Amino acid sequence: MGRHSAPEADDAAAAQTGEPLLQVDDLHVEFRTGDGVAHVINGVSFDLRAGETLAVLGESGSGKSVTAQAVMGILDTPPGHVTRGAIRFHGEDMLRMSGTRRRQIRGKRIAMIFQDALSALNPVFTVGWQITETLRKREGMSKKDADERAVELMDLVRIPAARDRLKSFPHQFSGGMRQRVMIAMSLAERPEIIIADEPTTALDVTVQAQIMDLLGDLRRELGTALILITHDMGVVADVADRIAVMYAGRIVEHADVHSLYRNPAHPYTIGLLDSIPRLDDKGKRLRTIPGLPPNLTAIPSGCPFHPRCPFAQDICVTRVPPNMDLGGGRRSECHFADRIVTGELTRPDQEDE
Amino acid sequence: MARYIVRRVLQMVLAFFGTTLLVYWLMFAASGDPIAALAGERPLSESTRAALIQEFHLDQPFLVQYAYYMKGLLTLDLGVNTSGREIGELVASAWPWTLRLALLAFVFVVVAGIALGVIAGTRRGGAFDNTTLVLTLVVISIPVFVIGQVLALVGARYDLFPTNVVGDDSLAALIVPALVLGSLSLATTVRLARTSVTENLRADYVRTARAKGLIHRRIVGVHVLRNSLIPVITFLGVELGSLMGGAIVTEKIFNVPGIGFQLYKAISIEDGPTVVTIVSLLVIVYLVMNLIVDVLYGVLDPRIRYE
Amino acid sequence: MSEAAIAEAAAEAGANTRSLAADAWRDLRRNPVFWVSAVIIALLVTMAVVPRLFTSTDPHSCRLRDSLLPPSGEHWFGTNLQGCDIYARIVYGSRASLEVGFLSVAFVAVIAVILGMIAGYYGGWSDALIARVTDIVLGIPLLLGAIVILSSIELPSVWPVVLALGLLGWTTATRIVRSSVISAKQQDYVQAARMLGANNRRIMGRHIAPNAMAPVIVILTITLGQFIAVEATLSFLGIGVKGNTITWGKDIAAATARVTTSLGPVLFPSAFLALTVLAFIMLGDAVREAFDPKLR
Repeated sequence: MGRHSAPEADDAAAAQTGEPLLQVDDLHVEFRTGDGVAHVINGVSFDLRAGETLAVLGESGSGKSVTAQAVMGILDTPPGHVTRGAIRFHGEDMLRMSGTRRRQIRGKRIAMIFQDALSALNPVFTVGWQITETLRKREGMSKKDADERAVELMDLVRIPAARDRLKSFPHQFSGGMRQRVMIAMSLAERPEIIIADEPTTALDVTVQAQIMDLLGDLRRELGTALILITHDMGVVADVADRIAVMYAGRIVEHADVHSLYRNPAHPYTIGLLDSIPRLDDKGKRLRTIPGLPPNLTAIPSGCPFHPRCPFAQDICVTRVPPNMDLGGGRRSECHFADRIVTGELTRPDQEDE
Repeated sequence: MARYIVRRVLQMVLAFFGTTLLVYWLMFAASGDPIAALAGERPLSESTRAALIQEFHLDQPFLVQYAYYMKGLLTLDLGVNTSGREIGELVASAWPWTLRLALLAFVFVVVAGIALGVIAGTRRGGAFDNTTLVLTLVVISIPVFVIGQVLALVGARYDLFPTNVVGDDSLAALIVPALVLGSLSLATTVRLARTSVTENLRADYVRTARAKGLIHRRIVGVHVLRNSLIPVITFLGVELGSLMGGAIVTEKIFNVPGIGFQLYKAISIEDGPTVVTIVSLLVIVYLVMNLIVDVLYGVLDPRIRYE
Repeated sequence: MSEAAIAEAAAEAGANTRSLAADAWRDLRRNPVFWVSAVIIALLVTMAVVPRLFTSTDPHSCRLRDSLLPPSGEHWFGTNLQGCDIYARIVYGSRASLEVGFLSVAFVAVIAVILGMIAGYYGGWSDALIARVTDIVLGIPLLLGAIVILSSIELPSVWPVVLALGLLGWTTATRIVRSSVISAKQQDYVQAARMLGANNRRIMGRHIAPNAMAPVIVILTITLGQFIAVEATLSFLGIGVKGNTITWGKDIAAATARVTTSLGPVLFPSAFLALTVLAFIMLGDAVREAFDPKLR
């Protein structure tokens, strides 16, 4: 990739793999509740190619988990409704598939890992039973073969003494090991895409790193594409190829990981990066983004980020920013994205401290 | 698991002695005059009086009396009642009736209770659910003897079903009494199963099961049901014990010659020994059922084992 | 934490308790189930206290030639086998049911609050002892235990029934008090009050009791309904309230002596009994819903 300039590299990748594995196009999701309609996803689009890792980053309530659930087709309906858009898997819109066909993709070709493995695993069945469930029921494997496969999978995710632990229950594992069980379960039918929804949030910091390493290794070994959903910028840097930053149900910035960290193109991304504690910043006060994420039943006019944005000007209140193409596969939904990315515009409060 | 069972058995033994002691004390010591408690208000001849004192060791300290009584109970020597009949015989002939009645009621409670509860729970807020909630609340509010008595009256008046089981050996004659006996348990089971299913449907593991691409029937029928049944089965086990105890009302109304009927008769003729013996036996059944349920609970819910 | 901060936290917690009660009351006021059951209970209590307000007929003046009359302007619900006015007997019978219900629940409340607080607050051996005693009493089904107690007491009043229900019915309420006390004890503001040196009695009375109250009131309300049902059952079996006292259970039992002739003498008292039990259970449910935001 290094030889090419960025846009050409993009084209080359597309040419190699044909069309993307997964294309999310202008997705809109609403939650209809007694208190009104919450516009949770408001036009999310992204592509995912085979073997690639996309990190979806955002605060809670930014719509990242709902995006994942919509892709999986496990949105709680009601209250959640996909109102517009397409989710194409190998070119075919999953939103228009029959329930049966969709179910054959779910879990088998696109699998998901959840945040809290203790509650996400069924407490009354052994982990072996849970890992092999789809193998036995969908692949028609015998119990013995399925158990063998489960042992392989548990070895793969580095659960020690896998064979002995087949008959253990979820509560008998530590948090990290439980998350490994979850990962093994998701890998059972060799999916093309794994969606990991905050896979490390419930874990201790050291265990977090181990799980992230495992996910990285698995992706390299198995060539599985990964959508990594997280609110933790520190987690994604080593694993992700590209990052989509979500705010108020929109992808406000989309870039490869290096550009995004080095040279963010959206004020929200700048705010997120500034709020990561760094060793070399010792003694400096940590910056936080002022204000709260918006109420999704009453999203601010214009750019949804304007009430919290240090760069905000009048135009931000009145006009929705365009999705600006910054070249090199980079996009940003900010009126001043081009000037921020070139460094022409700096944070107005930068000099204060 | 073994340690868990041992602990539960020890607890049960303790509860057993405590409970029987309490029953025995309530019956004899609390009443002031044990002879009066035994024989009621009927005049007693000196010899009967002496025989009663002999039989119940009333000249001994209370705890010794209790020890004799327990020895009899545990060696299945239940003694004689105030009219000189062997209580053991009485119990042996009555027991099968109560067992049949209670089991029939139990089957009805288990099958209908779980089925209705699961259906209501999966359709929370729907017409079926709301109807079930109202009906079960009404059943819970009407004392069993009222339900039984009204059914017996209506049944007899319009000749719909047999309302007098004595002399009718068929299982069919027990159906209505079993429905009456099980009515309260049924209503409670339905509500419990409904709540349990509703809660479990919201659990995270259901989302995982959906993400695995399982069909809805399997998610509800295997993943949710297996979890939802834990509290329901626990409750049902205890209920089987209570059903036998509760049979007194039903058996009186429908003249089923079971344990409860004998208990009722003993109460009305103030036959103290029979009352205490039958109540103690029912308490034992109840405690044993509780123990079985506790062990079953440990089997059903793997999380409990290593506690 | 500074003392001022602790005091502030404690005050805030007190305010939270109050606002919880206020929220619950606001919720209750909007719940029709609450009003329906409250009105029914208020009517029944009035009936029990001043039966003359509802009927001028003497429930004991019965003429055999009026036996089993159908409902009419003179006898709203007809007459029973002995020719007594069924409506008047229902009105006068409410007193026994409600007396037994309220007195035995008061008895249970006293036992449950004392034992539950001791077990929950002090823990240790007193908790273990109370737990074992609870196990033992739980081992006796309420109806059977009451039968044993009542078959040895011949006093013609409601007190034996109250005693029996109170002695056997306190276990659930005690467990609930205990667990609410334990959870209240772990609240920060209680810890804070303790750090400030408040003595045990003050902590229990001022901080823990108000918080543990809601679930106890709920369970006691429902228990009240159940006790009324058990009293009627015992009276139906002939060992409930003894003597001349009119009770619904006894009247229902008496009316079944002649089964095939008339349904009225059974149905009317049964309906009142069921309605009474239902009212208390519904009231308990409504209060529980108001206090438990999870169920909303």
